[in-house]
This record gives sequence, structure tokens and C-alpha cells, in this order.
Amino acid sequence: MDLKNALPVPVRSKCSICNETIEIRTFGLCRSVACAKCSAVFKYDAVSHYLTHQRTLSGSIKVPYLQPGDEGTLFDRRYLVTGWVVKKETSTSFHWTEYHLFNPVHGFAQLSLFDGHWTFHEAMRVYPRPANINDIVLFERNAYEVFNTYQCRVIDAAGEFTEDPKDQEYAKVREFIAPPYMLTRELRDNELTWFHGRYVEPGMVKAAFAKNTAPPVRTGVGACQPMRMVIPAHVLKTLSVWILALFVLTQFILAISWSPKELLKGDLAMEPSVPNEPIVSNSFHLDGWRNGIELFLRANGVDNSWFEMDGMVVNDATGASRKFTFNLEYYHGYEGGEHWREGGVDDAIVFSNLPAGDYHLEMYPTSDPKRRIAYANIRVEERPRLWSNFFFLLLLAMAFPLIIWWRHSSFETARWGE
Amino acid sequence: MIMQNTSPYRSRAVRIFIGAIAVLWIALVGAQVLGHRLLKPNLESGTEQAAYGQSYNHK
Repeated sequence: MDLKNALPVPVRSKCSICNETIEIRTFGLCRSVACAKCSAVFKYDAVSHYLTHQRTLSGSIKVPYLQPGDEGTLFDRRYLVTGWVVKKETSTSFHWTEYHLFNPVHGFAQLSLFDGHWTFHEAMRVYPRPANINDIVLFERNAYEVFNTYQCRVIDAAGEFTEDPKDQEYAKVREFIAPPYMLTRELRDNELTWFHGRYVEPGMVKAAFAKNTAPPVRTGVGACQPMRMVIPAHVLKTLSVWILALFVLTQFILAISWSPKELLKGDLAMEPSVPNEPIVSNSFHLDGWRNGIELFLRANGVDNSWFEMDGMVVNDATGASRKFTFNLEYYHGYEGGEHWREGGVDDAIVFSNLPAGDYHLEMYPTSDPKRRIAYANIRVEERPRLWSNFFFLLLLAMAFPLIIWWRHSSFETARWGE
Repeated sequence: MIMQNTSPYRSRAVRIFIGAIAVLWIALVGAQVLGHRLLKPNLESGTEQAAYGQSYNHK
């Protein structure tokens, strides 16, 4: 139901400065009105409806998004916009707009707009209590941190108010935040008032007041703007420890229960019986649907020399093959009073996803002409322990908390940097 | 105004996070069971035939 239709017909007066029509809808609650055209502020007499000119404000910086008389539904309550005030911090150039909202049952509320960020405020009936730690206050299981302390100047106003907008300049204001909530403490002439605020998405304001134009674009991070998809630090920490434990335990269990099984082992002569023909190993059988094997080569004869072996893992039945190359180099010496060594005499290659079947190895060895290798040890194991998988996936798993922490940190830095 | 105080462990972000970790955990177990090496060079992958001839000694 529209409030304007439910409320009595507004009192209409004329601005004595610019002759603009001024409508008053809050009747007996109204103490002051400001002309939207010339920013003249009048004292309002609710009995005689007489307007007494008090002052003229310096004028607004921007055109307000909501105008007196606009109606909208926020948090299931129908509100009428009765006025707006543009304020500026006394010690900085920050300025913002406060829209005054009225509901005949629930009373007054405010919708403040700063850098495109909207916050809905209501006066509190129950006040928060101090936590005695770093000026933190507690309210409904949330701890609120001090965000800002300031006094303000009123630059412009329009609409009707329960007091002279200029009176708000005397208030000492302190804001506490626990996003998406905010508590505002106003102390004026020994009168203390607390307001409870809640961040409102700009799209919600546009929809609530059925506006055709887009609300002001957001810049930076709002004082009580909640971060989307946020995971609290203590939750992230707990989850990270559990993830680490889960991955280590899983790999430990896999390493024990899925241990390698030897399929082939032996010292093979590295000189083919027939020149240019491959050295062929015995067959070994793989019976899993998909199998991983690890091929080990050890040539102890490599000593200040190299040994190379091209080869294939060949399926006996289909002839399908997988190629490989081993390059072994081992050099060592004594130079400048120090021993040095480089390379090694063994190496290993992992093959995965091999279908079930019988396989053999075909190898083409090449030795350093200065040092021929007569024998090399070949070993084939199935179910290799894939430590690279473990470290790679653990790294990825640990990257998630780091990315989330970085996002959160950047967001909070932007919030507190405002 | 009703303030929300549900457990942070039940948030959408946490559920997505746990889901992503679950995928990685399944990959860890699945890859081990299937003997599949996730990092290159994976000599068995048809698209990675170029890796043939690359010897490596790290698992």
C-alpha cells in the first residue's frame, strides 16, 4: 500500500525565497523544512503551518538519487523519503548524503550514501556494550571495531525534518563496523543516540524505490560492505590444517596399501647379439584396467663417461609401443682442492595408463666409445609411488587458502584505506 | 531487523572451497590407483608424444 495514499493530504506552503512549493507530510513531527530549489531552511510551526526563514545552505554538490516524496520498500517496510541532507566531514573533504525515511508505524530511518555505498540506519532501543578492548563494542554476538570518528558540517538539505538539520553539526560521531553491520554513536549536548546500520546493495535501493536510473557507481570498498564469498580467517586456518592432514594421511595410506610390485628385474647384456637389433627383455604382465609402471635403469659401469638407451615398452599382443630414452652421465674428479661429481648412474621413467596385457622392453643402448658398458640393471615395477602427484595436488590445495587470504586482505586494506 | 549468526562453516564459500578440495583429493587417490602421472611428461598421453625421449628422474 502506498504511504502517500494512506497519509493525509500534505500541507503545501511556498518558499518565501524562491516561491517553490514545499510539501509537508509528517505534520506534527516536522520542525524544520528545507527548500529543494534554493536550499533555504525554515522553522515550521505545525499549528499555524507558518514557515520562518532560518538560513540558506551553501548548496549541494550532486543531484540526489532519491527525492522527498519517493516511496520504497526496504526490509519489508514501506518507507516514504521525507528529505535528504548532504554532510561533509569537518576535517576532510569527504561528503555524503543522508536520506530521511519515514514509516507511520516504525518511525524514522536513514539511508546514507557515500561513494556509491548505501547503508540503512535505524535508531537503537538497546545499546551495545563496550568490550574494554581497543574500543570494541559488542552487540548481538558481533564485535564492532572503531572505523571512524568525526564531526560534520551540513552543506545542503531538502525536505522536512524533525529538527533543524544544522543542529546535527554539533554531534560527535563515532562509527563501529562488523560488516555488513555498522553501529553509529552520536553524542550531542550530553544526549547519546546509537544507530544500527546495515549495508544495502545499490541494486536493492534501485529496486526498492523503483528507479529507472542506475544508482551512483560504487568506488572503493564501503565501510560496512561485506565481502562476497568470504571465509573467516579462523575457519580458513582450521580448514587448511585439516586439508594438510588429509592429504598427508591419504598419501601415507596409499604408499602403504598401494606399494610398488616388482614385475621384471635383471642384468641385461648391453651388446646386442645381432648388430642393429634391439635387446629384448622378458615379458611381464599387467592385469589392471589401467596400469602405471616405473622403469629403472642402473649402469654401474658409467664412470666419467655417458650411456644412452633408446627403447620402447611394447605390448606383446598389439605391438603398441611407448618410447623412452635414458641419458646417464656420471663425471667426477678432484679440482682446486675439492672433490666434485655430476650426474648419476641410474634413472627412472614412469609410464601410466597402460592397458592390461603382456609387455616387453626393446632397447637400443649406446655407450661412450671410451668406456663400453657391458651390463646394465633393468627393473620394472607396477604401481609406482607418484610423489609428484602428491606435491602438485597439495600445492594446489594449499593455494586455495592463500588466494582466499590474499583476496580478503586486499579487500580489508581497501576498506580501511578509505 | 534480524541478524544472521549461522555457522561460518555452512557458508556457500566454505562449501565451494571444500568441494574444490574434494576434487583434488579424488584426483590424488584416482591418479595413484590408475598409475596416472599428473605432471608432464606423461609418456602415455597421446597428446604428449612430444615428451618422448625426455628422460627424467623425478617421480
